[in-house]
Amino acid sequence: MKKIIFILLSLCFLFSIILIAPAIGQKEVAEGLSPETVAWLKSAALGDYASETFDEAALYEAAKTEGEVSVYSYSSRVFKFGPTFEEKYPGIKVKGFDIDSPEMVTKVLAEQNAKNYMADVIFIKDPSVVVHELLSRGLVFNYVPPDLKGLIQKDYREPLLVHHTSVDALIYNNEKLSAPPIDSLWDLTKDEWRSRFLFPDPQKMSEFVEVLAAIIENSAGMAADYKRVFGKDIVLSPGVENAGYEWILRTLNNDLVIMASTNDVSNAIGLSDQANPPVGMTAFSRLRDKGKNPNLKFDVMYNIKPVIGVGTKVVICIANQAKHPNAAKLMIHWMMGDEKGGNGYAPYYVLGNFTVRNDVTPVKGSRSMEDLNLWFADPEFVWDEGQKILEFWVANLK
Amino acid sequence: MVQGEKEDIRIKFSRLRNYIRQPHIIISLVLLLLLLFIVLIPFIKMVKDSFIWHFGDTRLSRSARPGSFTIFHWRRILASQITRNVLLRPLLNSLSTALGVSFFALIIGALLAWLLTRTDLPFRRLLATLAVLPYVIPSYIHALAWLTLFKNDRIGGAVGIFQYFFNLSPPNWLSYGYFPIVLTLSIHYFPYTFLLLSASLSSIDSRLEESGEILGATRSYILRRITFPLVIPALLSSFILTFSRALGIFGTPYFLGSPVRFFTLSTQIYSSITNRIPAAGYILALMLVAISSTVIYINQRIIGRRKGFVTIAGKGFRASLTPLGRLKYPALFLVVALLIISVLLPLVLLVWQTLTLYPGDYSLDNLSLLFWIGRGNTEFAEGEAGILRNPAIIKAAWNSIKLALTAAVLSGFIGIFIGYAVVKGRNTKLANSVEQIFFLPYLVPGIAFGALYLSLFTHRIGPIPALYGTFFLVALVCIAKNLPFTGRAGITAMLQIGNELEEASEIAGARWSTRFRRIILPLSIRGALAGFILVFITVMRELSLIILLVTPKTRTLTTMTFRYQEQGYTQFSSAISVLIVLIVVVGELISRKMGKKSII
Amino acid sequence: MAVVEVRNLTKVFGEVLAVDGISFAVEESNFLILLGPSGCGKTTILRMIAGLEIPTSGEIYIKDRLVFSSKKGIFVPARKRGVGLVFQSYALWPHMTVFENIAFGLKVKRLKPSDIKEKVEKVLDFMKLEGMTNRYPQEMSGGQQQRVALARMLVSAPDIFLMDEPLSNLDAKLRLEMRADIKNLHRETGATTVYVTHDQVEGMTMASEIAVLNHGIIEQLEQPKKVYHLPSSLFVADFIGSPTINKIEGITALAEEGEGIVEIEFENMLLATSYRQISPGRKVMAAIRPENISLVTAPGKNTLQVQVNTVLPAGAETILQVSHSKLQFNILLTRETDLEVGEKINIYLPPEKILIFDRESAELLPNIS
Ligand SMILES: Nc1ncnc2c1ncn2[C@@H]1O[C@H](COP(=O)(O)OP(=O)(O)O)[C@@H](O)[C@H]1O
Ligand SMILES: [Mg+2]
Repeated sequence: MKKIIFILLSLCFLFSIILIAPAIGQKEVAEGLSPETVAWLKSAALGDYASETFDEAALYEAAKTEGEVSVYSYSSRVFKFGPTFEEKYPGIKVKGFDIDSPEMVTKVLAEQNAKNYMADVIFIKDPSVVVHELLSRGLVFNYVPPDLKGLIQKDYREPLLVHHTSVDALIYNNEKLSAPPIDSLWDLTKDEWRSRFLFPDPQKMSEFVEVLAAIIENSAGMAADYKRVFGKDIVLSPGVENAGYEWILRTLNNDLVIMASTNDVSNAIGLSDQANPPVGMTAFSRLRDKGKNPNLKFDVMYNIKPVIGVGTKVVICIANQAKHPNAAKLMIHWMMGDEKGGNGYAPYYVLGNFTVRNDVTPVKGSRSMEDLNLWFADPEFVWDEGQKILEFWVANLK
Repeated sequence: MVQGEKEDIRIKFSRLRNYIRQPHIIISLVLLLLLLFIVLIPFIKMVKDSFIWHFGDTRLSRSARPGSFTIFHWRRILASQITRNVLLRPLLNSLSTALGVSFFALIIGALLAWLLTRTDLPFRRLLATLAVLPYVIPSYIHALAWLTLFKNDRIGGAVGIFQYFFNLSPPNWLSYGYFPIVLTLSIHYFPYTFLLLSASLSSIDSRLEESGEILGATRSYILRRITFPLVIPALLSSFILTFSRALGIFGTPYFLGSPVRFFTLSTQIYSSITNRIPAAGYILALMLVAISSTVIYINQRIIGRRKGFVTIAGKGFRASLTPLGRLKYPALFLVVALLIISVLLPLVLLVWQTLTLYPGDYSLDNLSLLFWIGRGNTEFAEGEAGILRNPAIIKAAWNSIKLALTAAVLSGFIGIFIGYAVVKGRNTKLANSVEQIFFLPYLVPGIAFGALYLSLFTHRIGPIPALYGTFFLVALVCIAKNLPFTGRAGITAMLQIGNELEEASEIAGARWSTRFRRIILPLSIRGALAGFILVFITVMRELSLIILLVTPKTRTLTTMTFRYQEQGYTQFSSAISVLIVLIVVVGELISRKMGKKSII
Repeated sequence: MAVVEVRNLTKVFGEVLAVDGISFAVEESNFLILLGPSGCGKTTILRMIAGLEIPTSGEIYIKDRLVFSSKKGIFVPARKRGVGLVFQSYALWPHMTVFENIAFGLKVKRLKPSDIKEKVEKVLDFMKLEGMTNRYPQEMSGGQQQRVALARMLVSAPDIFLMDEPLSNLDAKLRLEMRADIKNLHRETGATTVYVTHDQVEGMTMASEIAVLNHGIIEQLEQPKKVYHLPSSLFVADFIGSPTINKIEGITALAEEGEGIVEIEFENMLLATSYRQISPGRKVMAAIRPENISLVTAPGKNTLQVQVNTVLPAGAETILQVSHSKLQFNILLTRETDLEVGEKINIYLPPEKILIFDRESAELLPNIS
């Protein structure tokens, strides 16, 4: 009798394997645009069917019939521009979700795969992944409000609309020190900065993979600066490709302190009354924290060579088969703000974030981005090298 | 001839039918099928998924074709430049922390159990009640409290209380990494050993020991040669239970290990999966499962199959108490100190921290209720409102409670069925296998279990839609992981009822559904409640298990704590932790009211 | 028509052969008692009849309906067999009141509430449980719980009453009372009853038939009197009767006087019996009930001189334990006595009361006299 049960069980077992097998063999997403997608693009007036003019009233009318818009946002500031949007456009409810960028990609992929289309607006960092894993597969689509086309230069409109550029830069404690203690990235590899250079964990924050990628892409600049600082050509460690990688290796070997968040970095460096404050890299926009906490004393080191930091892009797009495309367009338009900054853009109109509109004056107290000595992360380079860089990082953690 | 054979088959078939038609057989089969779906299939799927390309893998290799077969991930983990830092060192760290934790938890727990059951220490009953509390507090709270206390200036910023008051920077080894991880987890897990061993100690007939004494053996000789061998099964069991739990723990090593690059398999699984290289996470999770199964296998070889796991049961005999003599008050002091360190101190620290306006400033004029009841729109923490006014946190609190209740009710319910099947079929192979197999989820480390579910449910499987992102999935994993508890409780409850009450109702003409509804359920529900409450508490403070599965919609208090801590808003994370402890304690109090002692 | 009939019923638990191919039938209105030491399979048989246990093989008929057959693959579940069962532990549902306990079976059968009330009240009356309707089982004495258990069985008017040691949890006095009550109950309802007990007195007093069981086998199935006076085996002889039967190991010899009377030789003594025609030299066991031994003043035929070892006065009766060299005897006197320990007395073993068993087969030898 028991034998029979065992046979029954093993049959169930086999059955279930067969059941899950298709899930494994299946091709997860078809290449090229499906007929449904094309139909949706047509009805949503997106992609090839986008209109050339921006008619706010008509869009609002259409959006009102949709009634709501869900925004997947990499930052919690969605809870700021969401409510102002609702005030401006009554009748449209904003469903905001604060999701980390990688998780958002996973989620969008899962939704698209399950044909369970929840997201409308995707507001996300890490453009390389968005372009190559979502846009190229037709899972998200670019939307540039037609009235803004002239105000935004092309590489901020293509392939995806950039919402703003965010800068990560080196900071120091300006209470203890009257001037930045270093003037080159290479200073951080010196013994006096052992265990005193704070860097956010690139394993957690893809943004800092972009930072490292920019340093590597500009390895020539790194090599030149090495020569300036040490007076001789750089000698690469065995197996290391270029001066950019070499810098990563040497800072890691110099016991670079890995931090959990940019907030931790600025708090760590900026806290007043420190005997021997460290330096570190953090989001430029952390400068705004100083206003909130009188105990924070730090500033960006504006004169570091070869660069003071790296600019990365935050992009915005509409998910495939979004159920509320008109509301989504309206939302994107709202988020891009106006020539004075604007309510929709207000949460980002802060020190350290740089608008892509050429008609907006920089935030008070901020220099314009062109005046800052920066490199910019190139999504294509990040896509090609990003994981290699991360593996190099992981491999050399001591 | 042919006629006869046909007859034969028909009879065999109807015999089988009679056998299978017994309710407990049906239930056993259904339970085994359920287990297939909640443990075995996820496991197989995870193995398979470690051999295929996933979406994000195109970043790793241009030849990646999502969905098709590859051994790339295994090669990458087992033999590449990152092997040492992604697999070997974390493996070593995981093993050494789990071993260290089991070892110290065992020593602390065993000593405490002996002191509180076998000696004339004052206030034993009260102390025994308090000794369970460290387990009720979420484990990472000890880690956060440790940071509050001993954070040094390595990661800069707000220093710990120690440095604040003594102006002395604690060394790295004290602040972060192996030492504090083992210490805080030992403090969290010793109640396990304590409970198992107290039960075992108080069920040893003290006459065994007394007869040794009459024969002239010394106390210590008796302890070594009589008492110790008798409690060995309990010791080994608690070692295993602690080991497999500590192996899968995520929060503590994450908070205390990362600052000094101390990674464990669980933190590596987490970063692989957040970095969208799930296959790497699955492979590491498989390593965890392999380690814990190996250890369990060895354990089973040592103490034999049937006695594999000791559970808390049975009334004690009167034990003769060892007089502590001059050591009485020093021992009392030690026990009280232990309880203060493990329960009171972390909570006080946390509460204090939630009241500091600027982190790291422990002076009185820095106290504020902003993080509890602030209206938001201030300059703090991105202007988020205090946790009691913050809709996102209130939503998470409801999620947590909903999750804990759902998991408790459903797994409690299934537990009753497990109890029924096992007790009804006592001593049959089928019932034994139900009993043993339902212990499996316990042995799969928490974060690995989460990974199993992640791998299975991110895609649609036949008629089942992709469950990733749903409340149901999070609930499912909590239910599955907790079945060992509720199954135990169900078995105990059912043993107390006995068979005859149900049989009497069958004689009275009741079909099975009536019997279940009118007799079994009302009678077992009280006993099953113990398991129910335990699950509620466990899920309320669960992080490792659900961290990979939770999405913004299904965020719980624990994952919110984690998020705030990660983003550096320590006051918020501490305040939420305090909220969790409050809810758990209220749950515990309700359970006491209902007159049932909770079991672990 | 037999109300219950079992044929070749066998039950194996793993390695344990609990019931070994037994067959019996209970006629309408009979009161069959299954008697045997604990562990001999009584409960298992009862449970198989009730349908709570699936037999390993054999057949069971209830009212001529085949409810179990291993050959034909038939198994009718308990709730469809129309039997009533009183458990040894009573198995009253602790979460229900007396009324609810009794009414349960009727509710399950979806009777009208008014009918249920009427029926329950009737049995409550019958079982002298008036005024207890709203009590919970835990709030009642053992005897009362017993009555509730009986009432619960009675109320559904089953075709057969099955009772598993229903009196074993009661104290001696109550047991006596309940024994009478159950006997009355049987007389009044005339229900066919199968009753399990290990208490032979219960068996003797209540049964219309007794089946003595040993290791899953029926040793003897007959009327109580017959079982007592002519136990079919040494086991039955031993098991039934208190104090236990006296046994004398010996070898048959042919009598010198009186034709064909079998005598038993033991310790160079001869014991006359009423048996005839047993070949001499056979290894046998003679047995005699304690109450059949009498005290005599003078030695003579079938008389032994013994020494008194113990005197156990029990009111109207006295039990003596006496010995003759290695032999021990129990003697039951239906009077008081002033014999003292150590005294020498003569006892007489009447030949017609002596039973002879074969020592090898342990079976009673036929007495053709
Ligand atoms: N469920 C069971 N599993 C295994 N053995 C059993 C079971 N029920 C009874 N037995 C065994 O069968 C034999 C007969 O038991 P039972 O019928 O209860 O005896 P009785 O009622 O005469 O005391 C005993 O040896 C007992 O151990
Ligand atoms: Mg019995």
